[in-house]
Amino acid sequence: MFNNPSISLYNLNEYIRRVVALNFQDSIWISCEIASFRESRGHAYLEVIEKPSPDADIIAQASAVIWRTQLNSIYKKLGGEQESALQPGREILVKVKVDFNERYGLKLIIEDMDLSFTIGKLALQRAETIRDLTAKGILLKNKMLPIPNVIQRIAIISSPTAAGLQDFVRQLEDNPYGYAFKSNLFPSAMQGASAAPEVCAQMEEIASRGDFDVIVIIRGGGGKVDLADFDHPNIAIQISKSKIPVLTGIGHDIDESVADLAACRSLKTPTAVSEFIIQRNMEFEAAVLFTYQKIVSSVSQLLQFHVNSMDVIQQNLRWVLENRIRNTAQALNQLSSQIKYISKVGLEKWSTKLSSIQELIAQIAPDSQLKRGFSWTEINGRRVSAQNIPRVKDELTSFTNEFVITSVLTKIAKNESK
Amino acid sequence: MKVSKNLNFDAAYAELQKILSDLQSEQVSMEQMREKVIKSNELIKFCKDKLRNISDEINASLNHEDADLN
Repeated sequence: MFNNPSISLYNLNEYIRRVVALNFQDSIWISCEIASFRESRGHAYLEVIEKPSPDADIIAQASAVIWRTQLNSIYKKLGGEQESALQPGREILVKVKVDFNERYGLKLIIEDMDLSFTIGKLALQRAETIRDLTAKGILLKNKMLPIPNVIQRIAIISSPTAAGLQDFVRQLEDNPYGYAFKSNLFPSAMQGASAAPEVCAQMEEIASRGDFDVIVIIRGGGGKVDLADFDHPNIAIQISKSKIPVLTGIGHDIDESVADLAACRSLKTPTAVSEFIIQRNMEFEAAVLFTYQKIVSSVSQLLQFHVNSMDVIQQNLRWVLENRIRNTAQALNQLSSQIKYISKVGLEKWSTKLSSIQELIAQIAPDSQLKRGFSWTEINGRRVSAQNIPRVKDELTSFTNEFVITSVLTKIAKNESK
Repeated sequence: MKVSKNLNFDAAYAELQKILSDLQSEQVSMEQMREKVIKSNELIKFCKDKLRNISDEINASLNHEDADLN
């Protein structure tokens, strides 16, 4: 059992270390994908892997470390984008020293990093995502939603510490037209690997609340790699599911993220989003005021029209009345003069009648008869007539103009001339 | 024989006609006739006054209406 020649593990590992050291005297550039990343006491510990395609199995894996000094200079180079650049899933091009330790085994010591490789890879990945989402119609869904004419209830997805958030809220509150807004912040990481899941979770939370006019996703300016966090297809898919229009102000002047493409409206910066909202409300108010003005002027025109026709009617009424009065007055005058005439004629008739009676009486009156030479003879106080015939020897009384004669009848005969 | 103050034109005229027919009849004495003639003259004067008053009243009334209308 012990006859076989052998060496100790240490001897083996020492041998491997020497082989490795001999063959990898210089550092080399390798491409790989970050599987995990953690920092401890200023050093960074990574697992890096390689897959032939995103969905395939891992075909190579190694542990890597970035010592404090190198990590600081890499961070400096990344200029604040380290969190995005060094997150799981990122493809990186790094300069490594291959190190083998007898106890700890193989370790890649990262000395430098080429950011442009990561960006290029991200661009390819992004193009792939856009192609896929476009084919599924996901980028158009939220664009089909109508943005309300008046935006007042705003769900904000942002990081509570983001500078862009303060700008956005202040600009809304200080709007020159005095519009009131009710905004709720749904806090989320805006960069790094947690950005996509947190944004998606908050969008679901907002959907369950439901009483918002718009969802606003904003953050202050970030780097190109940062922006890649919003290229994650899950955010775009979540936006496409939203029944509320999404406005983005993710803060990049040149490129749009995939989230921007999926949003109902994408604007460059958070302040551009608040300007858009204020402008939209202002346009609605202007339209309302314009309509109001139109109503006012239509109504006053209509009123004027009615006032005018009232005037015309009043004029006509007055004219008709005056006419009527004039005609009636004329008729009355006519009637009056007719009455005057008729009564005059009537009175004259009466006058004539009276005159003729007077004349008749005057003729009959005994004085006028006696004056003309006639005499009047009575017997027993009654005039001598056919009804009152005197006999011989009767005493007669005769009246002449000058005398009253009493005589005795001696003879009486009928007047044959009658 | 004075004319009554309550007498109206129609009654006066009727009386006048009565007097005329009485006078035309032959059944009145000289004295009666004289009285009737005097009465008739009073009645005629009354009727003429009445007529004149009526005429004045009518004119005044109609002229007054004219003034109102014009």
